Amino acid sequence: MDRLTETPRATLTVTADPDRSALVVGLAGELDIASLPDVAPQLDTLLAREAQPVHLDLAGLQFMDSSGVTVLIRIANHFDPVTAGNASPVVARVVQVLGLADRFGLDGA
Amino acid sequence: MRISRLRKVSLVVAVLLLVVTAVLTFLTWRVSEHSEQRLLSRQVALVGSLLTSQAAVLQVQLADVAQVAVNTDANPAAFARFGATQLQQTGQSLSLWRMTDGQAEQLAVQGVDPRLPAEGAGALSALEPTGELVVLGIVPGEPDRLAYGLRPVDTDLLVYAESPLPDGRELAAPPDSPMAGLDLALYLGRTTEPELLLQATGPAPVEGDTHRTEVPFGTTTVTIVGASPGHLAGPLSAALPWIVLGVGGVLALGGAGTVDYVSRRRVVAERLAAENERLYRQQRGIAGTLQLALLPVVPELTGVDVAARYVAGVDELEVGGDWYDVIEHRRGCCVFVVGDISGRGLPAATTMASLRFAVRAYLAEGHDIEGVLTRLRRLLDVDVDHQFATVLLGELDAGAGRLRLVSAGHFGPVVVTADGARLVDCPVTPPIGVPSRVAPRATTVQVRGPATMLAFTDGAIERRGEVVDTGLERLRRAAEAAGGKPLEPMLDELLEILTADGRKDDTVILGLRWTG
Repeated sequence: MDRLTETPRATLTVTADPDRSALVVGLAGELDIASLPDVAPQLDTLLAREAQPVHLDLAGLQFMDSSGVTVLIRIANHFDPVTAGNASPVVARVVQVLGLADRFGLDGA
Repeated sequence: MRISRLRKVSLVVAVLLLVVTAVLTFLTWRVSEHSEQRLLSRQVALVGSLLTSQAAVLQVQLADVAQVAVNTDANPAAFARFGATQLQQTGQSLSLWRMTDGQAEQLAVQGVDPRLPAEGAGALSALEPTGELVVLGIVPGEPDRLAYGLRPVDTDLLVYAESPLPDGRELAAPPDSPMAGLDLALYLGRTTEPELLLQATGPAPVEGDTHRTEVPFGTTTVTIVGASPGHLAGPLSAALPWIVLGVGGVLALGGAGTVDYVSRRRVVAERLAAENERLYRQQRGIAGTLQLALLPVVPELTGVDVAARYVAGVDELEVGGDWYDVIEHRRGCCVFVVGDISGRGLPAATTMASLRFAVRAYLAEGHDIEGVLTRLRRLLDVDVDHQFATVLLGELDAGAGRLRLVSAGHFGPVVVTADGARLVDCPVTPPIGVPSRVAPRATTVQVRGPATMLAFTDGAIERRGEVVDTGLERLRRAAEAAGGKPLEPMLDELLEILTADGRKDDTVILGLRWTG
């Protein structure tokens, strides 16, 4: 499956941001059905944490399909409150057409 | 005498077994040959469909260039800018011409200069304004080039292109393509004249047991001749007759017990051949077959024409989660559903099937579409199932020209009337599977006169690296352009335009047409 290995892999990184007093979760790369397994272990570790404020930094996310959105939704279901920022127009529109803009504070993006 | 009697029996058995072995060897050989021929014809047909899709890509490319020329009133700078993006290999030529009274006048050139067919620019007058890809033939030179062109409908502009044919007409077959492992020769037209050879994987003409097929390529035809130098079903299948012969021969000398063994070998041989065939078939078609089996046959309704298309994604080895359904409510009134499960594979297909039947069940219980959507929310949980579903539910009262719509994360439909096509703006609640406290409220759309409504899934519009609005607008325009056609050809045309390239996801398009 050459096509899969050519796809840039997706990453999920977690950093504590003292200024925001929220956990900052960075998503990067192309998050789709083929790259979901790449972030699955980090996602499981993240979801094992206690509920706390989380900020999603989507600056490095070039592409996301509906399978990729499941990652965002599972994070949003587990933590509270969840905000998101730095989404590219392509990514922001995917969240918006799914009727999920309110949930991530991405309205008007 | 006891000994001579035994010898006689074993001789008879041995002769008998040798005869049996010969027959089995022959049968195994037949099975193997037969399956070889079937695999070859199937593989050549696959190459044919690959070629036809390449013609479609060329047609779309030229049509795009022509559209830019029409929109910019044949502006050479715009042609140069857009044309440059369409040139994919060195030595290609792309030129823009204007036809006046059967005379072709060159307006702009991108890439190398066109060499033109023997009769010069006059050859271009053969292009009718049909918007179809026309192949003009092979233009000899260093290297030879394939000449083709396209003249959009209702314009005097014409886009003409020449692409160099590779050195020695060599066709490089990537190892994972249907061409791999085949001796192939592609000819322009219905004959196999050497001068009409387009490309070949090896020396042409192709030798051996060949299979030949003709496929449409633009307005012309390409003839494909293929043969398999090796065994498509694998070396084991090829060696089986010899194995049977060898084993049978040795065992025939061994005694009567051999009969049993040889029969077993024959069963094994046939089973292996059948297994080869089955695996090959399964690999090619299981996803599409399963999906089509799960999707409904569209019903015949009074006053409403219904048609639907489903196309599997590029990676056909996995089932997708797209579906549609149309349920008659009462005379002239029906409920339709289009939905998409995130993810692929069997989990997506089973979720799809259960949601499809749940919609039918809730409707049968007498719930309206808002009630059905609220109840569907209880059936899926993204935290547990790692999937969600986007669903568009609608109710059409054709007599009153009234559409009621609710959406869970899904695109609204496109409605085409005599005034043009528009995308219905439908408030979106979160997808099924995502917790939501918002009660769905239906949007009511009043449509005047005869109309066609198209509901679709994201495969029809999404392209990597493109904002969805671009895809929505592409669909709206295509729907407007094809709106005058009968429903079935209209959907075929839309699919052709929307899935021509860059598609990776499944695609569903559902069309409802009523006279109002």
